[in-house]
Amino acid sequence: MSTVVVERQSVTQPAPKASRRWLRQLWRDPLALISLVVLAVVLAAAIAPTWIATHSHVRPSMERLVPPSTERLMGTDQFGRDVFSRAVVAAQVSIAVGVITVVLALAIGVPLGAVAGFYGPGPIDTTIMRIMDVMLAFPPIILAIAVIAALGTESIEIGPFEIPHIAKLMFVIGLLYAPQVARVVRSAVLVEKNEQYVMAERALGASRPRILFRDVLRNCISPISVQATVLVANAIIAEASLSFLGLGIQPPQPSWGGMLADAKTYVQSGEWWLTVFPGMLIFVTVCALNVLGDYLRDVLDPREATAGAP
Amino acid sequence: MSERLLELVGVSKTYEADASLWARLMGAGGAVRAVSEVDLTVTRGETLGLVGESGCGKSTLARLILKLEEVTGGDVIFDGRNVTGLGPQHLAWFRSRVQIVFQDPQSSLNRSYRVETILASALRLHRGLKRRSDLREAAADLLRLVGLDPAFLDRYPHELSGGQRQRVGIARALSVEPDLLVLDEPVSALDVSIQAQIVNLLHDLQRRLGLTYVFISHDLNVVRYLADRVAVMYFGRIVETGPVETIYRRPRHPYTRVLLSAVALPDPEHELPTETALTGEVPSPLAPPSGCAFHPRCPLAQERCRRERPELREVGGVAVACHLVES
Repeated sequence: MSTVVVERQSVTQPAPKASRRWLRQLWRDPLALISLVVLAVVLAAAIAPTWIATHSHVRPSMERLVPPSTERLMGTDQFGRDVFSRAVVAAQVSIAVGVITVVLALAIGVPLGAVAGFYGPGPIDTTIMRIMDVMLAFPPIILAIAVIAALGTESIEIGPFEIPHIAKLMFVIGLLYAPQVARVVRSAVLVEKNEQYVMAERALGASRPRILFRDVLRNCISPISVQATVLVANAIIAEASLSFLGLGIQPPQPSWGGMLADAKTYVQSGEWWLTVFPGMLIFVTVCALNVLGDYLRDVLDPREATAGAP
Repeated sequence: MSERLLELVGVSKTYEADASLWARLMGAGGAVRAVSEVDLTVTRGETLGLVGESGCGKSTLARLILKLEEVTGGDVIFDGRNVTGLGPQHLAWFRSRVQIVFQDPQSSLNRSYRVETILASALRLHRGLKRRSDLREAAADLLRLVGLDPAFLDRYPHELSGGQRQRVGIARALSVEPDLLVLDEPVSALDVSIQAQIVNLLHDLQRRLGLTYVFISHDLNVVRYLADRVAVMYFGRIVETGPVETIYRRPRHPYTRVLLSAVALPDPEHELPTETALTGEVPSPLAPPSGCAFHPRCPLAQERCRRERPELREVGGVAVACHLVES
């Protein structure tokens, strides 16, 4: 054993780029592809409603309760307003509430959950998670109703700032969803922090915050994005529910939930288009977001990236 | 420059079994002694093999040497300097001189980063390299050192085989140019054919870089090949330590004898010990046995072994902790 030969390991074909892999996987998953198309359409409506809407979404007309036709794609409501144009403008509200709410929930939930998981078990973990548990114990919609009932549906003024009602709505829903994010992040961090690379980084002298935010959280992106996608869907439902109850977006500004509320008296008199179209939009958007969440979970974990490769 | 690179003096580690406030207030929850009063010396340039069953405290001892966990008793002296209560400014010095290679190369490399990023993180911390091209060049040198093509820099850990990953793990440990490398079962998770490559690589690196190894393993053949001296651990204590050939040819402690009888040694002159296989389990750390920790499983146990714990003492060039070994 005097001469030791160090083996030179050969380099095989480099793995395909991540983006290419995602695209290939998307073609194999038609449900995810359809969901992505649906979301792209809703997103386009949200970004540029004036390009898509055919009529004014607020101005009444004499053509009341007209059934869907090529001229009026989704018919008109009891004030003669175009349902299609209203639904397109309402998409903006739904998407904005969904996305901004979840960004807020992530901004609060990710650091709290990460710190609780990484520095636990101990008083930090216990304090953070018990507060989260208390918030989780309330049904979010009921709590949101209570908060909005207390604050009112008008915009409020705090010092020089005027806070519009929609901002209050986002803040309340975002705050209520933060514990769900925190719980997911904490459990992901609990798994990750026992991986040996954490110990290797510590042996190399990396500080704990650096290991947590650079190494550990990076590997928690997959569960976080799945949870975020599902929460966007939940937030859209929450906004629709609150608007349906009259606590969300105020008329004449259209929202999917508010359109459903206005239309509920026409369910039995035969004007089906007033309820079916907004209801379908909520349903389809939420379904698409959930499918997208599943797709992300499959595609984001680098450990599963080799699955299916030759 | 001290010839004794690493010295452990009465090193102990005790874990609270239930660390919750309630349990502590109520006085419930026992303490677990993972490592008890370990004395060890590692001389510069040598390899110390640390062997024992699973759960005997080998890996805990490794983490204590690395200061990944703090000792609850005793002192760790590295290069003549007591590092037990080292402040943050000296810790960086220590971190650049002692490194570890882990058992599971799957878990010890962050799966989100390419090999270059994994190596660059350490290089940035210790060598003060800033420019991206310098970092990449230094990382490429590290890969060449462990026998990998620099093209592997752009790979993710999941694109490497187990042996390649372990080479990257070794390269990362070498990035800070350490003196002491703790190898915590570095080949146990690998295929047998790959094991030999990695063992040869370690052997080669030691000669070229003048490294000192603490090699933890339960593969006694590998230890015999790599180690100069060996320490046998049982239940958190060292029961026998000495030059590897002396101990392998004539194991004195009953536990060492059973351990060695369980391996087939590739030596035609080796006489198989007559002891039978070990029966029973390692005792529960929550209820440690009295006297010698090995007495419930020892084929030769006597009344004295139940009462008195044997100390390590010199017998014919080795140190043994057993009442029955004659001087």
